[in-house]
Amino acid sequence: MNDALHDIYIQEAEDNLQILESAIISIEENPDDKDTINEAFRAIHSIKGGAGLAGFSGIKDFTHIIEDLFEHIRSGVLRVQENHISVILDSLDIIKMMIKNIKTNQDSNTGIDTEDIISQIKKMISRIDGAEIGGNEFEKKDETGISKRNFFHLNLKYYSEVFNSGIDPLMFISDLEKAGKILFIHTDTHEFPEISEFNPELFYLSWRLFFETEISEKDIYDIFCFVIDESEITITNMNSIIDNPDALAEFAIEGKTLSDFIISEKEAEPASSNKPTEHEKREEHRKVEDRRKIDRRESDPGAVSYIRVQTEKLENIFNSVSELLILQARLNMLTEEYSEDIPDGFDAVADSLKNITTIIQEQVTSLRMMSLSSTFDRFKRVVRDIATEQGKKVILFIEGQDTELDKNMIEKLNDPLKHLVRNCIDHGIETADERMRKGKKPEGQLRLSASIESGQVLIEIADDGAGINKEKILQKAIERKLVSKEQNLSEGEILSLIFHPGLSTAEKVTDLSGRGVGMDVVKSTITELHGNIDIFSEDNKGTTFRLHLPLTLAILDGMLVSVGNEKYILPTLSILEIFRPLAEHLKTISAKGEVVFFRGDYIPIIRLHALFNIDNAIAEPSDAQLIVVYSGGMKAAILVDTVLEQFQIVLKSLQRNFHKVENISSATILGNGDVALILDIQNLFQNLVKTNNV
Amino acid sequence: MKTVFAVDDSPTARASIEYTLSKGGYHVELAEDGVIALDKINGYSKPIDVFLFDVNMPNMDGITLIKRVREIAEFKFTPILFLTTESQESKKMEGKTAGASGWVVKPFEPEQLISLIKRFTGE
Repeated sequence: MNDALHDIYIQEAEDNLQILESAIISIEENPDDKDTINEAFRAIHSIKGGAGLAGFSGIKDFTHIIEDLFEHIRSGVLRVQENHISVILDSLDIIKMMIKNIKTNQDSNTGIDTEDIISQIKKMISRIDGAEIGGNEFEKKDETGISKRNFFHLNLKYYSEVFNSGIDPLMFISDLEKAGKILFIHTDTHEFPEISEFNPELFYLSWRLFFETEISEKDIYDIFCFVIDESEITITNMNSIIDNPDALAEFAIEGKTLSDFIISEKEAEPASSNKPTEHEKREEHRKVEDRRKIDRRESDPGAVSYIRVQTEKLENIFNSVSELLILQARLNMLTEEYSEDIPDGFDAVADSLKNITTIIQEQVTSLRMMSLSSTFDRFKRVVRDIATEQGKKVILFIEGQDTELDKNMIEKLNDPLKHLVRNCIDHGIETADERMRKGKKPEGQLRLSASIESGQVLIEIADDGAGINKEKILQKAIERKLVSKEQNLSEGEILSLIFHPGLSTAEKVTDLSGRGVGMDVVKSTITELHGNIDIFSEDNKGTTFRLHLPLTLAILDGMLVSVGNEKYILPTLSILEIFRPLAEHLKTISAKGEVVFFRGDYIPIIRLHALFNIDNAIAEPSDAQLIVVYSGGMKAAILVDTVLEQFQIVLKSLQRNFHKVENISSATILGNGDVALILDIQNLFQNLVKTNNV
Repeated sequence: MKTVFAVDDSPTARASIEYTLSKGGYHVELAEDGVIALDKINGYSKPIDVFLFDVNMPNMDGITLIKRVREIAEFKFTPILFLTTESQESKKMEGKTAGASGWVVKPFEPEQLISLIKRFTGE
């Protein structure tokens, strides 16, 4: 079951399910939206068609009935109602389970009961058009082919424009030859015009023939079905008159009757069967299947316009490129260091190599980029489900779903986004009644948007609900001794408390989702992705969560700084400004410790040398440099000796080899082979809050 | 080698058509929808022997595509087959009126498709 076609099918079916799901949600809102109905129809149709082609008959049969339902909706016979939507959504869930089954090489229908839903759909359809429901039509194709010789007289006079449909009339003659035996044929050229009148685009001939076959009259008509309406085609079954010379004479061709041809044939071996028996067919089918499997294994299916690759393989390439980047950096350093001793021309080669490495890195990165559309589309259903569950009305607006992001990040973003969306609906958006009282529209608005901003991805989840009650949060935080009353927290600092494990754990209990992902997990996931999350909230205007993320996980823009003899890296994403403070801007405040005046505000200073016990570091801020970083609405200034350079870092996770190291997120290898540690800004902030409490 | 130009929005269908027909000794050209197909057809310098169009496609459906291809002088008499399913009986007539030469019922067995194409190319 592990061949390429199946994989392609699974991928396609999943894409189509996604399309269907969002289409159905929109259809529920606009039942008359023909385009979306067509889109949904196409999607279900492709799932069915593909299942047939890929050999998943269980999926094919099940989707067939859903397609029927859609056909009724599409043709306007059935108007979409709430119960249709629910049944379709349920069916989609079943298809998902089927796909899951075939992914694990099980039969698609393992452990799935489709009967109930099929009968529901059948009822919906049968209310419209009586008992005629698809499904029976498979049985209709029974075998009438009891081996029996039939004799026909055919008169074939095609319409003269037959060529215009791309059909060569000779085709039908060869069809007949395949389906039986042409005993005698006469070509009538009477209609043929004078050569001056002759139009090569028209057809002038007609045929009369005797035909012996095992197929039925209807099957012969089927051969001609595409031209029969326009042409004069008569098919006469001669079986009943075969022993009646007078009757036979009426159907004579060039003076010859059918009996002239069958007397000698009659005792001969029965014509070789062109219609195999059901058993033979099955045998043949199986052989074909086997052959197909072997063929697929043995040979290349030919030129393809695209290739699907396992993500694992991409990962491997990515890792190799990471190594390449490290070596490249090392090479750059060495060329600089030994520039005197290096022969002419070496520089140029090293430069070209550097350029190519950069290009490869960009290309490989782009391979892993995926648009956010499927992630965002999924939220149409999520929002609908949560809103229904809460008895609220919510309209979802999606913007910038074409924004591209590293595939690995997209996967990791699903849960945090879901939690934030849930949070907005659970706690932000009010019930319709409450909204009306406040003079808002009864439907809450939820906006999910993505964009690229100065090399970073910005994702926003915004609601127009009640906003976060800051006092309540502060009160709770003080109760739980997360902060002290004396601390004069800024608005941002208060809001960022909702990410504190101590607070959000408590929230889990009230969280109706019961899914156990607290806001602290959201925060830590975003941090893991080297991203930032900010909250903006205004009473009765709503709450906005703003996520800043790097474009990719494996490469990070960083600022290399030195403290004493040590080197650290700060993610550029978190950096707001770098400056050398004036002595008069430095202060020490009792509740906050050491602070610096920065853009109208006092922000805490974090001394790296003190944090990591580094000797020989510059202790006087006005002689050193301060890097202002922000995370989750909080700002702080990190004291370092000097800022060395900005560069792209290939990340190596520390945690595969080490436990989580306080204040450090991961490490990288510098050009000279030294290891530099990357600061975990988020973690720094948490520890800062703790220290101030003590 | 004869060329079949197939258009289907479903990757599975395209993969299956390409696989089947190249096995059957055809050169296969593929397009994802009608608009892309027309573009490709107009720019295609070698002869095309058979067209194979899916009926249900985004951007431009198969029926429209049949009409448009028939309007191209070069393909006035070229066989055009369209892919449909048993549930789309009315489509068959629509396709025919648009100028199609025949249809293929999806899903198809590989042999079926090959023999049908042979039927129209007169092989």
